[in-house]
Amino acid sequence: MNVFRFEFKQLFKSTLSWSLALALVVIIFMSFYPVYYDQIAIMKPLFDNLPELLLKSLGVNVDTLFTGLGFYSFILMYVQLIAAMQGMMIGLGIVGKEVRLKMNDFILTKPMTRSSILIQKSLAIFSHLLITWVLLTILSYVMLTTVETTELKFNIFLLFALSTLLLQVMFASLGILTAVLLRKLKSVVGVSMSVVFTLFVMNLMQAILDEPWLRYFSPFQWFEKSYIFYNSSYEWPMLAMCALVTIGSCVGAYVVYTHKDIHAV
Amino acid sequence: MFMAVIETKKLTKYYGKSRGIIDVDLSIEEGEIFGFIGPNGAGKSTTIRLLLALIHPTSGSATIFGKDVITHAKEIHQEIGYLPSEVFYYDNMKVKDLLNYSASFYKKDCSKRIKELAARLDLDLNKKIDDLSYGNKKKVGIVQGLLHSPKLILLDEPTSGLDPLMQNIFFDILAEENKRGATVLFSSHILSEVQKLCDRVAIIKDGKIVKIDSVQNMKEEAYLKVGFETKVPFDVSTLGLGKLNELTQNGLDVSFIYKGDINLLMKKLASLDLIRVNVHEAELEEIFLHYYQKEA
Repeated sequence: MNVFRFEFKQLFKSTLSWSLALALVVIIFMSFYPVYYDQIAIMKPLFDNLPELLLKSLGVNVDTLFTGLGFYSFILMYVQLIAAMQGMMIGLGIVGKEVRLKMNDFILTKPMTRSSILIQKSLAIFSHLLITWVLLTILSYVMLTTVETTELKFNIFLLFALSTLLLQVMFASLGILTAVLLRKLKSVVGVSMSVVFTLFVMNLMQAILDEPWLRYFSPFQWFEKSYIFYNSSYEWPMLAMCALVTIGSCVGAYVVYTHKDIHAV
Repeated sequence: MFMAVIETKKLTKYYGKSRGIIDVDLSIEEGEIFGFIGPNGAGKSTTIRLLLALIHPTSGSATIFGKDVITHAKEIHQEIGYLPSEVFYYDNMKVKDLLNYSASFYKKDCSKRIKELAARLDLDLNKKIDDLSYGNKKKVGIVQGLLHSPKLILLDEPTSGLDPLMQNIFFDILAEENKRGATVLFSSHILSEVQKLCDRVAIIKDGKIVKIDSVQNMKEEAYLKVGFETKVPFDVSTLGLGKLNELTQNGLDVSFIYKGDINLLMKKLASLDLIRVNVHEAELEEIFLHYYQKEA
């Protein structure tokens, strides 16, 4: 488990920064809520008059916006964007490290199977995502119970929180797959940004075009907040899509990594 | 009874349609220092990368310690030390952290050997790798490749970036490792260093092995470099010396590499009206060139 230990240790700094970024978003946005809730009489008609398309693309649901949990579901879009970015970046960064630094010759001539290297690296990635997620979830829960005026529906909160983890893991798997497919990797940030933002823009595309099948290609819409809010469950086809992409990427990465030729740099 | 440490059978690698190596048959015995010579792009690195399972053969097979290099890569790597021509390392790490990480893959305590090698090579273990010069990074590579006292050492053009003094120390270390029992495969395009160190040499050209022989034999085979100048122009092919290698005729100046009966050569030369003659034993470099001359 030396590769796991090595990568796990190296990831702490990164996890600390991502957790701080996520905590800031949650703390700042959630502390607006009480002020905003007090102005409900002025705010509600204002939102009602906004075009539906705009609200949809911003992820706002006017009916639920004036509950703590509804408000949380609104900021969740940004939380999930950051979390997805973290997943993609560390997935790509950790598995693609030897590609970026031209060190494949170093690690792959060590007495360790390629599958073992990939599995240990993936474990380090997923454990750090889990650490970040646990911190985020505890903080969100604390913030929500502080500002929520009615009783917090815990199962819905948990579904919201879990959807963040599922997205993080999905994006990390995409990052891992991307890392094993690339022959050169100059900038982890560059590649991650382009993938995550392309998929985030699918969100807006879907809102504008209103084609239902587009949702399957728009990860940020797989866990529709208002659906979860009213049904206390995920949409199964979308959950299946998430599972398919995650497992597909991991299996794909494994097959490619264990068979590919490592060319001289 | 000898044992082949490395054995390849019709080992072939194509990168898509472009040629890597074709039908390479090698057998390197335990305790040998084996040189692998050829210009850039001839297939030296391809062969070494195939042996290390970094790339997969298109056809043919290779074994190390009698085990298939692909299916038993993990066991084989336990006993292999590898030094590539260019070395790269993780960002922001101290030399000793990198070496300890490298050592953590092997089932033995390497800390003593790391210190010994670092002292020999005058390498500061507490420095950050990013702050090291190219030559010093190369030293990290040497320690990294040898810290687990491997039974087989694979070196792919290892001397680039080392100053002559360090090269000598490095060659001394290799010779000691060899005395200890390690087998060494040393690829290079510089003949003199192979000549200095190796017992046997394989010459590779355009992906194919053209000759495998001992360094001694190669030198002993009577290759003669012949040069002379005549008073009147004449046709060299009328000399009757058979096929001449490296033949150049520049007006009245003639030179070639000759292999064969020296008395016949002398008789033939004596029949000419000469101004100047120069016959000497060909350098290994010149013999080597003769394998590489472009077929007319």
